Amino acid sequence: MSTSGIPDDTEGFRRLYEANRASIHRLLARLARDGHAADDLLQETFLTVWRKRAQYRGEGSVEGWMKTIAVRTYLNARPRLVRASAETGLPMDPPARPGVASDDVGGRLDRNALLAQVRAAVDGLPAGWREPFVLFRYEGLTCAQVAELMGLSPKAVELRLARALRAVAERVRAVVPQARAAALDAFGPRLNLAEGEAS
Amino acid sequence: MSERTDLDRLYDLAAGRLDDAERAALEERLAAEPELAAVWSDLDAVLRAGEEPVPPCDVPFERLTLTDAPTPASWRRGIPLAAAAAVLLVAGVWSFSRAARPVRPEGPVCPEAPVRLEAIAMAAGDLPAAADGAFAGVGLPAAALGYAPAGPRGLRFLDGLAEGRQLAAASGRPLVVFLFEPSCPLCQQLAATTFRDPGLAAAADPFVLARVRASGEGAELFKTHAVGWPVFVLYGVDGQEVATFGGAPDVAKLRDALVKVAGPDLAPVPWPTVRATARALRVAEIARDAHERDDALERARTLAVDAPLAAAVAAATRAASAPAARALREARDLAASGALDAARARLDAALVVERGGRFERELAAVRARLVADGAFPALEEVR
Repeated sequence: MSTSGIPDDTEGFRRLYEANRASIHRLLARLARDGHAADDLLQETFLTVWRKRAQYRGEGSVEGWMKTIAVRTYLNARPRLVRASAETGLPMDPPARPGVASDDVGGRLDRNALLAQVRAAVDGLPAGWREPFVLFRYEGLTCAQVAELMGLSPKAVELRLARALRAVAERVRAVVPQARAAALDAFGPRLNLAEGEAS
Repeated sequence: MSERTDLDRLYDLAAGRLDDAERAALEERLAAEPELAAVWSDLDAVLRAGEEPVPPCDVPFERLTLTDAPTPASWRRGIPLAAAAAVLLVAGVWSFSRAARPVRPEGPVCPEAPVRLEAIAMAAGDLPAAADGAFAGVGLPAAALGYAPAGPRGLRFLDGLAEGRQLAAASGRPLVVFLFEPSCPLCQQLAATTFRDPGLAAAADPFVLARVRASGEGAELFKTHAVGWPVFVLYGVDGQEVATFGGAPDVAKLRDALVKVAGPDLAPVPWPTVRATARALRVAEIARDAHERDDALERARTLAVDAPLAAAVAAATRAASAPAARALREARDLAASGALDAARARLDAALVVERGGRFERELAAVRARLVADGAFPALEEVR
């Protein structure tokens, strides 16, 4: 183990890789919307982590540091990915995944349809909205962290996120009108919303 | 960065990460702020919709080739940077070596040379006091009072580089600088022979000629242009150096050089106008009362304002094939017969044809004068 916290030896680095590859791959797949591109980006990310291991100063978690590298790797590769997608004519979207059993937002809903709508809504966002949305929604980063990663101001990120949330939520509501009612239920009595607004 | 936005707090609220006090405060705000409540509604709907699973990662560790060297992609990114650095390095070396070389002094810069005379007269009109030397430095040197580049005894040179540049700029003429030394046999030979030849008078007329001692005012110019004297340095109307040659040229060679630099389209302010303007300014300088001074300044302004127009129109008229010249002649004749509307219409038609051409500006100026004064400009008076 190096003094920085990233293993110096191959075996130690393998353990680090195995422990984190799933989460970083998931992040990259959501950003790139392409499983194969995510595979390549994952390797690039871990090679960068290996080369820069001495630069990790122990500030923050190793996983957070690696995710920062992953996002920057993706941002660097984005023009190449967009170009490749345009050249091949293939969308960057991953194929539809089998859904899971419904357990919230109205038990009677078709879960697969809902998730497909969510994915379509997220994929349909402009890149400038989608990337902060993925980092905020799926990675749990704060607006400030997203802003730092993307070279934006926190206020700009907050605005983009609000717009992205609005766009995705409207898609969700179109499929599941109950979702809006359910969401409002939590604060409905206190919010004193107009009749049409709460329905 | 540790600052948390409202959206962060809403996310924490949805994730159940707020303590009771924070939660209560946020709920109060949600009840009071409809915009925040709308964001919460959107966020909650999205979070409740759930998360689509992502396919598992099946990239084995063995596929990584761990190396401390930059990846080929990094190399590719580095190539443009290296190329840019090399270009900057070469540019820096070139710039340094250029700075180390002697810098040629710049000639008179006068992009709108004929108009400069007008500016000089206008500037003179703004001066508060009438006194000897009041107009010194406004641009027209004292030598302009009686200067012509050629006379009965051959070429006439102004003594001094600064005066030559001033006069060339003011009158819209190219400048010939003759670098000499009184003890130089070739210079004496030129003064006694070539410069006295009457065959050079016509070729020299469009120029301002200035002579400068190579060991005096012209030392800097001489250092950057020659190793021996005499030397001729020729500047164009725009003040840029266009030719340099040394030795003692014969009449034919000097005439050819002058004709080539002057070019066919040169339209300088005529010498009589330059001299008349200088005289008017001088009269204003030594005027005994304000009335006499104002009269003189008005005369200088009139001369100077008309001069560039007259010169340009003369040039246009000389270009017999140009539609602009034909239009000017016809418009002048129409105006002389009292048909001002027809004259204006003729100029309008010519302007359509000449748009973007050499004489568009002059045609427009003549038309404006025709409209303002009700008469074709009295060009002959100022020529």
